[in-house]
Amino acid sequence: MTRHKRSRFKLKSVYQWHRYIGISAALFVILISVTGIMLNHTEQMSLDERYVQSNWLLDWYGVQAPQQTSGYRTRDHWISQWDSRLLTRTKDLGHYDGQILGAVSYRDMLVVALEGELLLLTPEGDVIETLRGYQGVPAGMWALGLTSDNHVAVKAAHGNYVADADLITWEHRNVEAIRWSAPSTLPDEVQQKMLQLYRGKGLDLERVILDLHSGRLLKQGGIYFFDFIAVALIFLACSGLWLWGIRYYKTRQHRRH
Amino acid sequence: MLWISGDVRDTAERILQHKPGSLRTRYWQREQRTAWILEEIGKEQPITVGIIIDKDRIETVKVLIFRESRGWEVKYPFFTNQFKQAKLDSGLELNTEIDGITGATLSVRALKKLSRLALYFHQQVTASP
Repeated sequence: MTRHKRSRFKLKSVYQWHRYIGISAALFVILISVTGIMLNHTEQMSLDERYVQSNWLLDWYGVQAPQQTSGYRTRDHWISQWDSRLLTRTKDLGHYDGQILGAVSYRDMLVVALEGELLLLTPEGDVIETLRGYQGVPAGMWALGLTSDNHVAVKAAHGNYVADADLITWEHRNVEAIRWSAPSTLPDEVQQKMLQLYRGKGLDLERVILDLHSGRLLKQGGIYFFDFIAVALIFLACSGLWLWGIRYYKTRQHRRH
Repeated sequence: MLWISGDVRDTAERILQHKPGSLRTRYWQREQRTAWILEEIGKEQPITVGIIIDKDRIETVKVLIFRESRGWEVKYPFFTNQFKQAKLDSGLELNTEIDGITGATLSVRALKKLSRLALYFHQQVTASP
């Protein structure tokens, strides 16, 4: 093979590699570009506030719910705490660090006692107010109930306290007839609903897009694969420049002759 | 108790730049003087702040509970004293400049928001019918 032929063969070979790698990498260039644009606009697209609902993806990420089987039953609701999240059958009320101590229906509200605070909720689960020690809630609260005349009562470090109608002042009273809120077993249907709610907010879209962008979605293998794609893109950039350079050089030579 | 609904809720949302966390808030009032205990998240945890307002101007700002691990400098009087006599302008901003603290940007921002919110709530409960 002459030197000229060898050179043409080499050039043809680089052309072919450039073409094949280019075609193969196109899909990943699009994927990386689209996910990159999305990550640049996380806030505008609310990616961190949107959650993955797909069961297989949640399973893939290992988003498992704790085996919570008990909750507090009120007149119209079930309420339960899964890890730090408070759930009703239809709503995720959010994270609360304090442990749930009880829940009762009071007037048109749902009153939930957590360590150190009382939550007043609408029947739909919206927070009306959060009451803490500085708003008069007795210190060391560990149980919640209703008196026979339907006033909210708590068992606290220094005894039983009964609230006035607006839950503004708390009176230290040793009332015997208080129905204390106690946990009971969640019915299967309620537990399943809560499980869906729990898992439904376990994985935000930003995490998935970020992992798709870096290849981490496919775990360690995905990272190496995306490293390989990155190397392929570097090769494409170099080979593209090289091929353009040769063509440019030859065109100039051709014109000169 | 002040119910945070309708226009009050919309304005509170504008000041906080997010939906208010509750539907009502308690306050204490004697003539033109009101006291508020409000909360706003600094970076991750809520900061509980007591604010006293007298005749549409801030009399006292005091951080009651600070739960964040950084930005605690906002607790000290050298910072909170800056709010004294501040009032709301027509754009619902404070009429005085509050100097920030390096490394406590989010806590400073939370206190500014709460001060504006307390001044706005004060206007609502003391406004002539």
